[in-house]
Amino acid sequence: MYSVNQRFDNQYIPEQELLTSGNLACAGCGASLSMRLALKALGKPTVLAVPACCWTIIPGAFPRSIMEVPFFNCAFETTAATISGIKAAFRRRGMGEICVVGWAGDGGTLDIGIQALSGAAERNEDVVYICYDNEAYMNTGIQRSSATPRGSWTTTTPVKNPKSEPKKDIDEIMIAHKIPYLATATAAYPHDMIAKLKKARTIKGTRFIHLFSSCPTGWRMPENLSIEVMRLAVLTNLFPLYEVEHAEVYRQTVVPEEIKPVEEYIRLQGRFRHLTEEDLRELQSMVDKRFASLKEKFEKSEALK
Amino acid sequence: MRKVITGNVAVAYGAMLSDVQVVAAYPITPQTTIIEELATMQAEGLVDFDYIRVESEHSAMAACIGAEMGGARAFTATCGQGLFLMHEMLHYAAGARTPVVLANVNRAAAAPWSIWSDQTDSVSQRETGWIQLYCEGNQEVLDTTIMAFKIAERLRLPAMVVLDAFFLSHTSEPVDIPEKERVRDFLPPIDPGENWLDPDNPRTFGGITMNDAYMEFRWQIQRDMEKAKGIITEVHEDFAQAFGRTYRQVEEYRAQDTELVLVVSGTVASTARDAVDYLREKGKGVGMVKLKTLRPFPREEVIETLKGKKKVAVIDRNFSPGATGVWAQEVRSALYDLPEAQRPLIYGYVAGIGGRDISVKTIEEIYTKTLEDAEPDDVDMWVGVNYV
Amino acid sequence: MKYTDRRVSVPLCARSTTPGLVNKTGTWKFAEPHFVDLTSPCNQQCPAGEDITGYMYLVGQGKFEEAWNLIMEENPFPAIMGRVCFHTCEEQCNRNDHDESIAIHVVERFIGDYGLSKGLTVAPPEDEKDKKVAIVGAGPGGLSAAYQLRRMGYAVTIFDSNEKPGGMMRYGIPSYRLPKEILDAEIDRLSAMGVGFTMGVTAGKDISWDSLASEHDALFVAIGAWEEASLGIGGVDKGGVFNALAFLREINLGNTPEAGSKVVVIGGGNSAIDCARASRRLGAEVTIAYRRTEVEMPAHPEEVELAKEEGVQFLFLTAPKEIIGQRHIAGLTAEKMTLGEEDSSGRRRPVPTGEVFEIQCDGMIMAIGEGTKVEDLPSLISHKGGVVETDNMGHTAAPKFFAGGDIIDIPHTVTHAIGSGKRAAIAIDRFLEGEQCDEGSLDRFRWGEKGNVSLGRIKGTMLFPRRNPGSEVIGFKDMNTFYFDHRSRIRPQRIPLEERLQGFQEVIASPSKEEAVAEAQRCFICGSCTECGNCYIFCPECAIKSDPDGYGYIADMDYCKGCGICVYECPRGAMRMEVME
Repeated sequence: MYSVNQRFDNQYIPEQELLTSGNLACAGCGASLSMRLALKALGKPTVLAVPACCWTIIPGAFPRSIMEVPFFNCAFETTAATISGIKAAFRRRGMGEICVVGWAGDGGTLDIGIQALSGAAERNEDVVYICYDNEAYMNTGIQRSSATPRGSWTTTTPVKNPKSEPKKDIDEIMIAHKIPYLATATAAYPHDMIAKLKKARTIKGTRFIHLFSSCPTGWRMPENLSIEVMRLAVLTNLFPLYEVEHAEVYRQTVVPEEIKPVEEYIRLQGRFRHLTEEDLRELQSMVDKRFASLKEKFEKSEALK
Repeated sequence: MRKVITGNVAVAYGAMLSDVQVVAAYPITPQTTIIEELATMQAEGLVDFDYIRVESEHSAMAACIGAEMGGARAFTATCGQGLFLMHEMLHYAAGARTPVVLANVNRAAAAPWSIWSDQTDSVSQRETGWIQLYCEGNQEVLDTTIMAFKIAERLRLPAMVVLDAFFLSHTSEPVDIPEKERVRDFLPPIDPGENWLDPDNPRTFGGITMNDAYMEFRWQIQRDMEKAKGIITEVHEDFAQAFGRTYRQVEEYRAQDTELVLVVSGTVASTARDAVDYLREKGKGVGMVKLKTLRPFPREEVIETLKGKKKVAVIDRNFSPGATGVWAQEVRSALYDLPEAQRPLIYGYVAGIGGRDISVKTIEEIYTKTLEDAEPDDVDMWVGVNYV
Repeated sequence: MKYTDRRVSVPLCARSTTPGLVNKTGTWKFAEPHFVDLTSPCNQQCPAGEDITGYMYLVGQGKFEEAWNLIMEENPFPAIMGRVCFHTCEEQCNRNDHDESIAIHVVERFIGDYGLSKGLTVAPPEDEKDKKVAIVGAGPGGLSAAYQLRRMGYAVTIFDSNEKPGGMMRYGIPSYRLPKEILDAEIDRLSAMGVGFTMGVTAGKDISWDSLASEHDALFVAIGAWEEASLGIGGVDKGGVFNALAFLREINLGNTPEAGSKVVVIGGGNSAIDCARASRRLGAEVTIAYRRTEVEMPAHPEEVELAKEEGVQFLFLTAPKEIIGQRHIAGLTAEKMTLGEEDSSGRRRPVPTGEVFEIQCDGMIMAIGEGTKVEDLPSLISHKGGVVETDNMGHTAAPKFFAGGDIIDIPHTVTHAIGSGKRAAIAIDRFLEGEQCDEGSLDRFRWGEKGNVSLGRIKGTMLFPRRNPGSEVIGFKDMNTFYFDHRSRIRPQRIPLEERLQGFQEVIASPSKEEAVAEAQRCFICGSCTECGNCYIFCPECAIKSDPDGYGYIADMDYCKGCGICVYECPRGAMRMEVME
């Protein structure tokens, strides 16, 4: 690969593929790409438990599957509990080196699965929990979840009554559990994402990865903008890329050269089409405020070093 | 070794002797002493398992399913509300063919709150695909727990050991505790075959299944439930050979020479034994049939045992609102196929709900009513209700 | 049979048994990605038709000899080009919209110097042909044609009236821009290839056109533009008044023309700057008088900047009226101008204001352009307004006569001359092979629609990265420049001012290897796949794979759903979606 003069050196993307072509995701699916990259990073031996979500459908219907790692479809709210059990079994059987990964959507994580997740995190289960967050119940047809951002259209928050509450801050919730590792990542920054997952694999205890994952279908946008929109989420500080170790040390891993206005992100997506100038200003100020508080933590951690 | 222990401790011994590998559990009265005892056993090094102290019964069952998918022997215990919360996962465990063993201490359903015994929790799980094994005494609880692993793992279907709240869970009885080595001979280590998340043979489990195959999976559960009747009998026989204690899915007590038979389950059987003895002493013709398995329902054995009887009084410590007690439904359904001449009249009685006592006197009342009424005066009859 | 004894075809639980590859999800798409090769704007712009992105790619990887060979397909003088070409390619560079253009000429100079320092040679022709070609004029056009024809196997002889070959490169460009040893070394390569040089011979005078024509199978005429234009003002015959070409010729012969200690140079082109900077090196105070403003100056901005650095003064909006003095110039009167309407060149026309003033000087150099002398050419060669009429490939009206360089209708630069020589060489080859070579027939070998023809493309000796570049030129907006960081371009070292004015030492230093590589790595490689891997990395379908046939990637259409992410994320615009039937 000739990567010189590129922002990223693509030689660091592992070649291994732990899934094949033939997935049943919509064209341009951020979630299917995220899984592909995550598995590249995690490598073998890895075992996945996945609750009800788009990824129930994506591998293919029985008897078909594109997966080349063991993959257990668990009940919607049970991801964290299921992986706790799987990990315990492997530990008992002398197979503790197997990386046990829960892979759930935002609904399965922030809503219905949060109890099991909180339980597993509090027990500091030795598992990797990855939430691919596409900000609504996409598999069931784009219904509002607690991860849906304020102002967004969904099929249960129609344009005349869009979601009025801000997105649940799952990252701070998880940090409050004092887990050893938390990271935000997105497939638009594959090098960052892969580095974090590789790091996560080496850590003991509960590791939580929050993947921002585009959904052209649910976000009402052209498929080819799938990466662009994830990138803009980072470049606007809407979804800053950072990691937190032991719930204390915050580190921003991708610092955009130049922060773009949130509007650039918003205007690519039909789900925000109805937003007024005032709505945009409000969103911008929410993003700024949240980032400012994060930035304080980045700086505090930097100072501690 | 003989010890005087409660039913809950007997459960813990059963699980411990079975070399359980993963326990995931959440406390709920009156199950708590099971998981406390297991914690103590683990802490004292009597058994070595991973103890996942989950945040809910739902997660307990999910973790057990996960552990089974990881190829380990998993166990949990709960009761009442906890079992209701698990309901979704009970279906899941059966559908995923994970042979989890669960001890359920029968507890009445809220609201209003009640912690006392009735079977509404477990009979509500009839359709989940679980084998259900009801116990009469603490020895049976211990023995059944061990046998449950063997039955479940042979069939790859989950099994529930059911015991009454307080009457067993918190009541001490002398129990013979088998030696671990002998239990190991009886119960080999779990072999998940190819049904686990083997990194060297990566497969996807439980993926979306279209209507071209879903029915086949469900049919297999039904087929194996039918096979379970034979396997349970085999395991009972093996157990008898190994440990000298005999159990049956359908057990008769002084019932062969009578025209009127009581059909009971759980601890009511013990009371019924006394009642039968008492009534027989008074010259009354009555016997008892104890049912151990609700699922699979031992239909053939029930028919064989009850055919030709005149009257059968089924005592249900549970009921299905809008229908009848569940055991009565099952017995009626099984006997319906008998020719009319051999088909007994079924008298359904609901008694002991919410832990209300079923005494010898209660059973005598039931016997008397059954004897005197030429036919049942209602589809089921509630015993001991304080009407105004 | 009891149903408990029956079997079904599914496993005990829903455990996958079949690879997901049986899902041919490619059937879902209505548009599919294609790998394309588009032309970079620099390549289209290069008058010599060089594959600039190609050698940037190679230098970026340290493949210097391959880079040299790539330039040598199109242009025999990379070391000269890297010094004297006014690199209009850089003005077109897409990177201008990102931060700063690539310093293409710096990289080219490095490649040229590398070739010289390693003594790289050109492979001899595959087979010798029994046809002879005469080249009249040893300037860049003639040398370029000679070089290409010799590589094709023709016997080539160059005729030139000067003592040494090089034309304007030798007699017009001062050594501080192009050291003579570089010029000699690059031309020596042609001699080594067997190109014959007959110097000091003027065609039409020392040897007749008829005899040249009868002794050769084809002729290429590139006699250049050496005629001085003169100001239509009084006193140009006074002492101390020079024409630019004559002045520069003296300088380049190593002489010291007596141009005075206070010199005014008239004009705003590159020759005016050359004269001014040369005069500074002779110790004079120098002022350039130009009738428009700096904005309209045709001279290259970098040259203007260097002249300013070296102390050259500028008088804008100044038109000379009359030269003062007895026999020798003692000054001149000039008129203040103002800018009026735009003229045909798009520049605002100077309009006299009537305000006259005097400039003191004791020397003056007129650098107001040069003309051709084509009247003495064989009569069949038609011309108009001093320009020989040719088609794009250099065919003149006379059979077997071809023309190029400054006498045809192209800008008067070294690079354009080299480009014209190459085109003519192709046309001569076709002519000698008895094939037609009309203007359109080579269009598919051009860089873009407007660029020069590439010999590398004709011969199929293209080095990487292109496979088959289309005529379409890629613009900045067609690329995903997120993937390129911001880095400023190289600023080549200049020797200190005091050293510069001591003589004619080269002003701009050669870049180091590291500098050249770093600069080449700034190049976007517009329009061409560099195997960066973005398409592969971002494909949600695992449908992009390395091309088993060698270079680049292929899309597996069995699984590609046509989302278009790969196309959008290609940094270089080397992919495209096409709607399917």
